[in-house]
Amino acid sequence: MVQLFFTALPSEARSIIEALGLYKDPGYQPIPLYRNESVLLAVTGVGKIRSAWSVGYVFGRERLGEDVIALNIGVCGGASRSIEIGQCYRINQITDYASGKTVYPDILFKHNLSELPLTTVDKPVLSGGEEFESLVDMEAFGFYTAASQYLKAHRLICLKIVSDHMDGPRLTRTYVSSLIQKNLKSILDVADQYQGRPLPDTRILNREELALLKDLNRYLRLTKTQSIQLERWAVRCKIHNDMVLPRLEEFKQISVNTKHERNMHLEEIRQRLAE
Amino acid sequence: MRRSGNDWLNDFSHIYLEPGVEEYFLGRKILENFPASVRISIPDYKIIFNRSNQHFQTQKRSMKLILALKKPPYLYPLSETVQGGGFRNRYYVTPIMNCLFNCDYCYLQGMYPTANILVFVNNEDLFRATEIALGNRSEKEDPVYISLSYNTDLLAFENLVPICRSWIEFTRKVEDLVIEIRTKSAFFHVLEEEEPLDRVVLAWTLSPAEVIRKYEHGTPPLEKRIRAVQRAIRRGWKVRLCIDPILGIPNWDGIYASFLEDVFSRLPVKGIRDVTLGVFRMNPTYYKRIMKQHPRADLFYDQIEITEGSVTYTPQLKERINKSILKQLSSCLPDHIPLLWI
Repeated sequence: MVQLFFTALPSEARSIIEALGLYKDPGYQPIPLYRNESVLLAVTGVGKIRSAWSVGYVFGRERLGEDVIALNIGVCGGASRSIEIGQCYRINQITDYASGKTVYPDILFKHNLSELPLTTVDKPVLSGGEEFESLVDMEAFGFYTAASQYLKAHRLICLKIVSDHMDGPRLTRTYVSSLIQKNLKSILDVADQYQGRPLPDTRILNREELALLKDLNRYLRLTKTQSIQLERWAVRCKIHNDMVLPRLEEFKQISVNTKHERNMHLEEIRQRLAE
Repeated sequence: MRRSGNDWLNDFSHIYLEPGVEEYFLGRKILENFPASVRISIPDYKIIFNRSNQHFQTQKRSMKLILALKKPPYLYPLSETVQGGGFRNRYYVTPIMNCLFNCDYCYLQGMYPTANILVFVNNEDLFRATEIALGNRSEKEDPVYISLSYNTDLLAFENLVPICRSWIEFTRKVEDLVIEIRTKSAFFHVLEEEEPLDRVVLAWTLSPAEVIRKYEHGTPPLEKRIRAVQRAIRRGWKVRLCIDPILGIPNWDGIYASFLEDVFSRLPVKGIRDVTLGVFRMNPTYYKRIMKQHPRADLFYDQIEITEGSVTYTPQLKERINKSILKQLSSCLPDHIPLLWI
């Protein structure tokens, strides 16, 4: 599974980069991207447009497959004094202040964080934020709307740490970093919940099996209908055989010159998959 | 870190609420039943129910509850793919959309974009609409027939969302209304206090134990369902038995033969109103949507035929099933019990 982290600021990213041993990808422009074999972290810049653009850019550039989660991690303002500074919240509702549109991530796994709704604004709020009821940030809505073009709602996670009550001085990098560091375990725990857990939204045939079918399709010169049939037989076979597909590599050696030969070999494959 | 498979949130960990829900008895009652759930306000149920990027079977692992107010239309004409028992004014209502159970063959996974449970708390409006339908019905000599559990299993919810009893009481008060409450649950005890009423059709879907184990996830075993039916009959209800869908699984003829023999040897004939039967079938649009979600059930990949009107078994298999079941039923059921085929 691939974990995709998106933060607005380098100071929000630092602790995660260090904890997961990510290295900067020198080939990535124009956003800084850090990675290891199963984690990517993009620093998007501030604001929902940059956030949305960066999400689209990463998904467009990377070949991620389907077992992916995307997380938006960052600091936010707390609208009420009852919202404790330093606390990390799981966001269950994101409203775009400018348009009034609201989106809802699916929260399906147990977690130890409190949940709150959040509003994404276009400009920093410095006047106490009395018009807001809960949390306020500048990226989550952009992140969610862009990432939901690629992933289902249960694969989108938004975690926010309250840095202020929107009435104080500008936040320092050290302070932001320390807030993330303090909540790092909670953040990584949420991300790790998806590890080793194949969800029902993934394809039954894995990437290698699909590649094999594609090869067979090419070598045997299957028609469109035959190609669909072949995939269906393979899926059925896997379901009936505890998710194991029999070996079909030998059929890649075959060269086909006539329809008759093609149909004959396809029938052999069908029988193999029906065993 | 690798986790065990047990950390899914409990069903109804989150409740999405439309404005005004708390003003209704049913809304308050449901919220009382789930005091620890996270409550999230929504302007309209469609904003959460109809989202495009949901996955039905993933959400099934942790279903959320949506409480809303039903807006017109309240009654819908019943599909021809449902046995109606000869009634001509046939409707269904949707007090709840989606089901607690998760049967592999269920069309709901292709009908709705979500597995979350939507409950309409303004039952009173459905009653008013029913009264209007009774007054306006085209076939005056025929009663109005309403299927209550068309898009859900209403009785399975009765402990949490008490709707069945209110419909039974409503039906008792109005003439010319027949309701059907179809279920796979074993929850007859919640209706134990209700006096039997001929115009309320309590219907149990029964399947062979092999089918229940493999395809009807989360449902009570056959034994419990039979005991619930026995209790209902002892209490004076005449029940409908639904052998539907009949699945063409390996050795289906032997499995269904012993199942039918077992069921009908244990239920008194005088307590059976009729028997509805139908082989596996599905609307092609729903089937296509389900296939896009990568279903794990083998029945979607087996001997089915996709035509314009329906996805079902090949005509040959269908005919063999129908003949075999009919033969079996004729040996274990007297002729006067109506068989309603689809």
